[in-house]
Amino acid sequence: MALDFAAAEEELGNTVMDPAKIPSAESLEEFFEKEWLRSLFSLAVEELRQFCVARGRERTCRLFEPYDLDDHENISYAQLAKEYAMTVNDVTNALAWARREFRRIALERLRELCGSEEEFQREARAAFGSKAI
Amino acid sequence: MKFLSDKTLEHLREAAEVPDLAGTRYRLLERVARGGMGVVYVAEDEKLQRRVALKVLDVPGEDGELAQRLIREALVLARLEHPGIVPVHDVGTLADGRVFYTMKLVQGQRLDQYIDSIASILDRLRIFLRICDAVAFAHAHGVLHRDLKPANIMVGSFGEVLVMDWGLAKLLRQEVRPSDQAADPEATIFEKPAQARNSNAGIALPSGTTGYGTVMGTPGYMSPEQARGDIEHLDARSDIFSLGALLCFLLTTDSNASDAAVGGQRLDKALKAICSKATAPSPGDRYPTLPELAQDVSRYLDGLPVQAHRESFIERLTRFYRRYRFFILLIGAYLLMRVLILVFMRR
Repeated sequence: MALDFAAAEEELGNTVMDPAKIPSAESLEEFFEKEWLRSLFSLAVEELRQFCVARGRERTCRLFEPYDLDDHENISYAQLAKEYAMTVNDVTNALAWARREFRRIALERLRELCGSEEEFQREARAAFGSKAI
Repeated sequence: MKFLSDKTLEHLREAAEVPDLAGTRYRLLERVARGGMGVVYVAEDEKLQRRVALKVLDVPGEDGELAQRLIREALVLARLEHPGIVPVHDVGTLADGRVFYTMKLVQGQRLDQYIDSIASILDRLRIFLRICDAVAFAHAHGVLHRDLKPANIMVGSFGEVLVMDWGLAKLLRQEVRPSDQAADPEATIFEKPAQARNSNAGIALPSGTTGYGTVMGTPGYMSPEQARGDIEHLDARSDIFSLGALLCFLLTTDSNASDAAVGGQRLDKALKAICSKATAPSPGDRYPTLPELAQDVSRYLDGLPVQAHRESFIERLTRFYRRYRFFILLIGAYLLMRVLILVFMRR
């Protein structure tokens, strides 16, 4: 098999690389962290859905999905209350319950994935400790 | 499985971060700040109908290092009853497993934000003395702050000065009883306890044994020994270093201040010497106790010579003039009048 090194070198030399497109170690790390978090949260959402069904709280799940999972910016508690013929207070309580359970489930999954308590604490802070204000 | 967008991830993160206050007497109002260990919210104490600051950890569990640190911070604050130290009201665990404590809600500004409104260098020094007062009280009770910096000082709307964020505080010995204090006025000699106990609740006060080599604090305000992680040998002089750095900040931070001395260009040699002595790299070269640093600043304010600086004859004269300016001018005016009267009468 003949290898044309000279032609290959020339071809490489002609390839213009945009340095901005080369991902840095930091951005790769960020990407990995985000995808890892997405996967953890997706698992937790799925488990929350099953938990709601098991507890007979499908309606809570139906409230949680449009408000907390879909990117609807303009949806309000009042709209949800009207749509599901509930009081705003009931919507508030149902969403608080769903978020609490979501957090609990996500932390349980995280604990299973971590090798030590220290690692769990670190990862939990990374997952739930939102940015400084 | 539903795909979660970046926006949804952030929303879920924020929604799940909100503490579950079910079963407590508190109602969440707003999020105000994030500290090193958790988030601080404004909450309403529904029983007492007042607003409080609620500090809650990010992570659940009472056994983790952070939880122990937060509980220790609350217990340390509870034993430090001083007007310059924010009082703690309650400590506990939320339904979601996160440790929290509530404290007085301080309405005011952080010192690094408030400094622009302090025009006079003398007013800045008076604020500094109030900070020293609170920290000296803590030292007398065997507590080192270890994170003194402008961002951890609050100036309330009525001018009250409060030392905040005792999350890195180090307990050096058991609380000094009033009788002990009377017997030992220089009560800044610290011994590390095997394990201190909260006398009220019988709760073991986490000793917060930070291992050798662990570096905690804020660069620029952290003493060299703290920056090295030499935790075992930290004593009051480490906080004195931080206070010296804080004093430099107060004296050199340029603002809209009208006082020409603020900004460092014409800073008095005595003040420079106080800063230098407090921030000496070697603990042995610093003020041995905080009251001595405060005393030097007080002496400067009173127009007296300071321990940190040996003044020249000219400096002594200048200080004498500053201190007795009114009387000197009065006597000068009287003498001038006498001379003028004599001259007028001879004519």
